[in-house]
Amino acid sequence: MYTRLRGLIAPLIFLLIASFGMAQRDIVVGADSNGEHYDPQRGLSGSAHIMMAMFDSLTRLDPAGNLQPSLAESWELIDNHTWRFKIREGVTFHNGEELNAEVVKLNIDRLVTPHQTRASVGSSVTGAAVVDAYTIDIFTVDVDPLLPSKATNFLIGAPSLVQDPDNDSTAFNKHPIGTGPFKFVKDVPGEYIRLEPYADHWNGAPAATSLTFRIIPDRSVQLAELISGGVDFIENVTPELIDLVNSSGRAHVVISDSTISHTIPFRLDVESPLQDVRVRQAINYAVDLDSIIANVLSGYATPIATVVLPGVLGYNPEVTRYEYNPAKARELLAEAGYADGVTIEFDFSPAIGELYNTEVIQAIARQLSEAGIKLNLNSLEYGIAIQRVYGDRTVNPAFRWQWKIWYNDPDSILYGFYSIGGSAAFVGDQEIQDMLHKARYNMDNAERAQIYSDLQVKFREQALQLPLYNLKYIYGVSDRLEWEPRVDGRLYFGQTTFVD
Amino acid sequence: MIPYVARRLLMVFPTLVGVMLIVFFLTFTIGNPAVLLVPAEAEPADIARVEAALGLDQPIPVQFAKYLGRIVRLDFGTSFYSDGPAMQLVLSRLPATLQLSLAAAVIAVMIGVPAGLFGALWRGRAADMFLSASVLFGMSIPNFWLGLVLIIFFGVQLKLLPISGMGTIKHLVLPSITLATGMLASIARLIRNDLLDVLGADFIRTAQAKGVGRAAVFVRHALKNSLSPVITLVGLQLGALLGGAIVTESVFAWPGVGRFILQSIERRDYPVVQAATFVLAVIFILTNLVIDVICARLDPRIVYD
Repeated sequence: MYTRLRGLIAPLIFLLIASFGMAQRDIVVGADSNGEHYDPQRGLSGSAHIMMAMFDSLTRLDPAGNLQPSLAESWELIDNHTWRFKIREGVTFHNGEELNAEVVKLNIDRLVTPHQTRASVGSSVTGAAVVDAYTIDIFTVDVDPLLPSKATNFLIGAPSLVQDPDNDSTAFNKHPIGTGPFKFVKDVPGEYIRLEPYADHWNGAPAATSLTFRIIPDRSVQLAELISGGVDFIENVTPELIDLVNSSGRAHVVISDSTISHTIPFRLDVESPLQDVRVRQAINYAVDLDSIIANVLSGYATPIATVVLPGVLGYNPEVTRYEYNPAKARELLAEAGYADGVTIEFDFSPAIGELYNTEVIQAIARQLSEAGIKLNLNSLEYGIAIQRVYGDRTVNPAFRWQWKIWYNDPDSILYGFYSIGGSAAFVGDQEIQDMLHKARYNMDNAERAQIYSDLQVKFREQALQLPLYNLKYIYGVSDRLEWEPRVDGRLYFGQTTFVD
Repeated sequence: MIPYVARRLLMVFPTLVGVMLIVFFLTFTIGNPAVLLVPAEAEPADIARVEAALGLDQPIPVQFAKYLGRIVRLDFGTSFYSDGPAMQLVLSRLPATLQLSLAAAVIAVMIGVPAGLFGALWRGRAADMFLSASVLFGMSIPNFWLGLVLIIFFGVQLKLLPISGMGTIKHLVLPSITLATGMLASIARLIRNDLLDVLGADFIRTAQAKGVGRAAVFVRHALKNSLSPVITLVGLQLGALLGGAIVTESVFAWPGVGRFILQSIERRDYPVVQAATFVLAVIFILTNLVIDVICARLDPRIVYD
């Protein structure tokens, strides 16, 4: 009798443990806001983490930021206006439709439709032509060495949703269909979006049984949810809370490098004392960045001498920071005719610069004032700051900024700010313009690297910026998860595994 | 009374037109949405194309005429971000806000009114002092702080209640208490002070003189008279709450209108901002109308003119 009972109970216990284990394979992410849209042709911003779970792109970046094949297996330059991509065979969409060159063409056609240019991820792309069932040519305006890198943003949507290039985002927002590792289940705006694994994903199905992005706008509340087990993952843990997370018994922090350059660019195209190179150099001499990083940022940042970071094409290790030398700063100011001090108008937004941004600016202002440079701080709302830089270009001569470097290439951060006629061009130096142009339309990587390397020397001599630092990402991750950070800061859960 | 209500309802239209005019011109002062819609590396030509696609490149009088043409048909256009109809997006958030505001209002009235009565009846005693101190505390405590303290205590330490989000009745407890606190304190104070005024009035003495029992004087004469300011207060506060308790909604990740409006303003999503303002204006105007009618029913001194 007892043996019989034991025979019954044992499988029951096994089942219980098994089902418990199953339920433990859900991943809940605490997110700041819900996706803005789920339309692959409208760019990734805002919804990037969710989009990357549902869609694959032609190429992808690995966690270190290096270019890898994805839906395209290989690519080559055919002529100065044509890149040829070989499309992976046997890939299916979540609704069963198949991927081929024709489907990629439909997506590219939709990308270049005038009303879709909101995304402008493909601003150099003019169109595409099918070569055979799994080969496609993508055409560009000029030679574009970065097209395979930019293709990391060419997300591919299901043919039934992209067939009509004039379709707006409505169909995708209702039910996005891609080839990604997770498929769409439900979206409740302002609450959550739930995804489940796609068993037939070409790169293998994810280990998770579900992936939910829960919208929790307040970061302290995200942390409370993490340490009490309500969510498995959050971004942006502040340094003083690292111990709290690590001692919670539920989660730990993962610290990773980023590709974000924090800096203070100067405008030379409006009348201000900053038009004098000696004043710009004085500012560089007057800031003791090491002390700011140690005291304000608890050491979770690396000082930079140039906005081109180590590991990025053309990084020049010989370019160094100006040393901290307030006496030299005063001397330069006096030479420039500001022996009695100088006042600089300065714009910043608490939303640009992330960790303790306002405190860092206050510390910089204080150090500068000791050298006779007074910063007049103007705090701006995020949208206004963007508007003043990219829109009506009314930003003050010095302002706080940050740049994310994509695909380990400096073109995207330098061209817009330093080419003449760029969206936020405030310097107007013809020589810099020529160098940037030469690097942008050039297939020789060694030559490009040399140009960017030379540019950094010029930037330092001219003191066109006060380069600040590169911040670390600090994530809070459930102890159940083995999750790998990426230098581009995007969250990817397709390869996340569980600690059993 | 019916002509009065009809007249008031007619007044809704000019008020709404005024609101929508102000909103239209204010949206232009908060900046150009096109620069926020394009990625950082976009070039000026990209921004210009987006402006053209959104119709923002047209002269302001033309945009204004189109805007007027749309709102008279209650068409607020589509969200710049999701392409969804702006009005529908706003209305989809309304139930969450209604649930939270009504729960908060009920808590505030259920506790605030008895607390005020208590204070008036035991005026000057220790209990009244304690009440006054609590009221001061309740009125001055910031919502975001109270919300976080409640979360840490009931959610993280005691694990009694969910920390954030919407779903079960348990999810409603902490946010509605947080939201109710300020309103509760105002109600308690108002009703206490008002009752004290009324209790000293001539008609109360008259009622007592003609031999009406103490309880009857209190309930039928005093309380009834001091209710109308409370109803006005609750009405105004409810109107404000329905506009979205932005802070409370953000702290508790409550998917209401307030948070949505804030997000839309940050993104410069004009159609959503305009639709939301319209909905809120209508709610506010109607709440006021209902309150005025109720007060007039309660207080014969108010005449419909």
